[in-house]
Amino acid sequence: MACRPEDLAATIAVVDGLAWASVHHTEPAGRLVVTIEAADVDESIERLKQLQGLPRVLMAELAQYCVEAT
Amino acid sequence: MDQTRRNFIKTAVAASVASSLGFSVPKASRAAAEQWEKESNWKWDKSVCRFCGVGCGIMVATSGGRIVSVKGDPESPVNRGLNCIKGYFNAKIMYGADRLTKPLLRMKDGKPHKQGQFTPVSWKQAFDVMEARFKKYYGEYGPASVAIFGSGQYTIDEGYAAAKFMKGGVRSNNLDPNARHCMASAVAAFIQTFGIDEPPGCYDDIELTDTAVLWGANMAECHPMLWSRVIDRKLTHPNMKIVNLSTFTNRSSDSADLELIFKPQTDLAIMNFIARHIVEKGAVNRKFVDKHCIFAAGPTDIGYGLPDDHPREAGQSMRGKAGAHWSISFETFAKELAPYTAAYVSQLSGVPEEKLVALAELYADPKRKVVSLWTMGFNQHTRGTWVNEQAYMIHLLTGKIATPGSTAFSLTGQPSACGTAREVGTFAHRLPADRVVGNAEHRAETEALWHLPSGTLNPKVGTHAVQMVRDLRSGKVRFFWAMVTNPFQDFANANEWIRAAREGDNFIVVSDAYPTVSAKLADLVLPVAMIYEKWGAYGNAERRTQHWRQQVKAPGEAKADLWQILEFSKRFKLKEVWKEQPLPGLDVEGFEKGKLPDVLAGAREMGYDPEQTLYEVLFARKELAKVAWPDPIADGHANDVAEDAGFFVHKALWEEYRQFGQGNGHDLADFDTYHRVRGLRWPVVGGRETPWRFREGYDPYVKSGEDFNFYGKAFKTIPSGGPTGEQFSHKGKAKIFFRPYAEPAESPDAEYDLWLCTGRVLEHWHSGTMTKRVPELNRAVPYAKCYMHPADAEARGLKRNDEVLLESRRGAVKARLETQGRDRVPRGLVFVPWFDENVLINKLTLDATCPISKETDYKKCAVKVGKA
Repeated sequence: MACRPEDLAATIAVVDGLAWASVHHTEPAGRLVVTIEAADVDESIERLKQLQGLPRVLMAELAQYCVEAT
Repeated sequence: MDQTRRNFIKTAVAASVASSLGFSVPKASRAAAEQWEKESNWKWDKSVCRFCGVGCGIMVATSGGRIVSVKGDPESPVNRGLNCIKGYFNAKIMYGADRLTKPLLRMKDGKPHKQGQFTPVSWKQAFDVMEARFKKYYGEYGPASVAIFGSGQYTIDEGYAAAKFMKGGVRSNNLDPNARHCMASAVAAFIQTFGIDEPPGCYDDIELTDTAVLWGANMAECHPMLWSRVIDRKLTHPNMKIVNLSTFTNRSSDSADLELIFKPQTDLAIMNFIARHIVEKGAVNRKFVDKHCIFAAGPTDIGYGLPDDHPREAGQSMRGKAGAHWSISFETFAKELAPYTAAYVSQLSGVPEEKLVALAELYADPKRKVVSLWTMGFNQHTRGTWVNEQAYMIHLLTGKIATPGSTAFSLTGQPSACGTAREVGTFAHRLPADRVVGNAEHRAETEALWHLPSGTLNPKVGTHAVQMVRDLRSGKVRFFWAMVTNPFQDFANANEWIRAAREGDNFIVVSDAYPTVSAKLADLVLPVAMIYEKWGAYGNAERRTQHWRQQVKAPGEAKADLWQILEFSKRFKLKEVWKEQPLPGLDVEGFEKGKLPDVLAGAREMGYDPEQTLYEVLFARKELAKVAWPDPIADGHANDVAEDAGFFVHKALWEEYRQFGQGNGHDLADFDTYHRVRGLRWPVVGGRETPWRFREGYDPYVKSGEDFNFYGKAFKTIPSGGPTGEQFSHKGKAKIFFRPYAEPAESPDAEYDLWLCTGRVLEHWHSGTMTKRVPELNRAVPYAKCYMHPADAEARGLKRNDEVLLESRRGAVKARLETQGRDRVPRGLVFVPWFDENVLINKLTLDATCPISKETDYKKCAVKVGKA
């Protein structure tokens, strides 16, 4: 994800406030690596779209997915 | 899964991604990532994305004969480990429920019949009927009656084989790609301006620039991975500015510092205002211009590429001579720009004067690096070649070109519009590596490399895409084979061609993976292997060639397009195709009028037997067939085409093909090298790629002391000072064209009162053949909407989600109305994406083209909208 540097703290707070998302790595320039947890692919896409729609978020894209048997 | 395990995986995946994106990652997280990679038992291999022209690298994991995971390739210099939402679903495109797995032939009472029902047949039956119909028309009407409509999604070997079969084999130049609808205007402008195709710069410019100016390119949706690089640059470079020029507000506007919403077609005038401003402010880089450029102009009344009897063509006296041009002086150039004042252009375009000036200042500032980026907004334009040339005009005037951080960059829409359609030469006028069929020297070089007798190649330019379907309607083309494309959804004015396909005396073959609109209209459908079910190579927008290996097997009897071309070529003997052939309209020096010569005597002298097949001569000649399969470079991967042929067809064709570019500015590396790297940008000389062309220090073709050299070999001599002036050579110098504003082919009027613009959305690609089969993408955007301004909707008594009827002079479709969301259109314009076959919007669009490039303008025609 990316946001403006001045919005980084607020963006981290908003993302960490979501039950299904966690911020793992950040850069002062405004980049974040976030994981999304979801029951299925549909839900993960829906949640990605929610991240993309958050205020101050300039970009959110997928990098990798992982499916683990339960 | 327990929480500890889940947290471990999340930590590991996040660390893996963060590392690939260049974050500083703690040691413990890195260790977790390494352990997780080790534990998963999937077989990973590098590959490329199937969709747009960005050319993202992906990693594909297979297990049990299926693709089980896809991720962005961290080693890819293009996308650096990221994927867009379509890229993420690359694997799923192959597993749609309605995947075609057997040839289907229209039959009635057990016989092939145009009005029959699709019936599964064997490959032998399919090729028997296909051969009979091809030879019937070919025998009666000659090579001009047969055509292949190809694609910028052909792999390089497929496009090369199609070109060799059509041009070298059956001697028809009626091979044209869907890239005609996508990139032809860019090609024509490159050739006219630089004498060689494809961009001088590369994606690295994004990280080095101060300014990204988007002209008719909604990168946020259509080139998302490059857009992520633009956004990264903005985040890390305080001076970075983004400008979005468009006919409506879109997702790219959200991050723009400056947005200019202009009336359709007026980009031509805005460009001239910028050039005028640069001249007026004394911002022309005279040292660069004087040493490396000339000024040029051409005829203005060149028409709109419509049929001869169309009223819009009346009085267009230079139709057919649209490509002519001549040199002019700088003073004449400046005089031509004079009318394009801020006030005039503001009134024409609807853009406030202060915004025009602000944009022009960015280009004029000698200290500011600028990258201009464009796609279909420029290319799909009745003056597409002109507006591309105007972008170069601005960058050449200021010397902001072929320089790290400053370039004019034509983005591409398809994964191998560059690598296949353009570089291989699957256009009706082209041969490999910028050669053209109309040039005797180029034909001779091609005949030598293809081991053909002299005189085999047809010197008459074939029928371009739009003309191809017009010829289908008139009966000039009767055998039509569509490969890796969906023409009857793609072509503007679609109703005309759908009727021609179904009602004419013709035979339509469609090779596809799914039952598309085109497949449903065909007489014969051939099921194809998709991207990861075959070996292949694509060339992206920055001249980067990337190869991949087959990962899994195709389902049922689906076969690679390359296999289909090779098998079909086995059906033709030299004596059938290399004898004298009728070619109406042929009038070229060295050829008898209206005839292609018999070249069988020459063939015998070369050691060929007239009983030999085209397969034996074109594809399995001794030098090619000795390229052995299996090969260590396969690293255990299958190759169904090579296993059938008994030799490594892809490698053999690649090594032959790359000879065309050697020493010619198009140098490519050997086959094996591409399987070891993440692509290379040509020219590749001495193992080194070329990020910036024409520039000393980066391009091996530019000598020390030259600084810049625009060395394109396609430059011809041009008249000096006017159309009848003395011919002169401007070798090594780029052309700065003056091109005027010209009205659109069709504009809104009292009855059809709205502009229609068509395009793409993030979740779908092209006609939706693949992305509509991915449930998640389909659910995200299940159908095409008609985007309209709320006030326009209210004025028509319409509201959001109403079903509306869109009508033009050519057809009508129904769609759901959208007045909110990602695309915010101005009053007087509607936008409808074209991915949805149930909203077949190309029934409405006008088949007007740029008269130079022959590329259709999909961005503007007149429609009306009312309640359905």
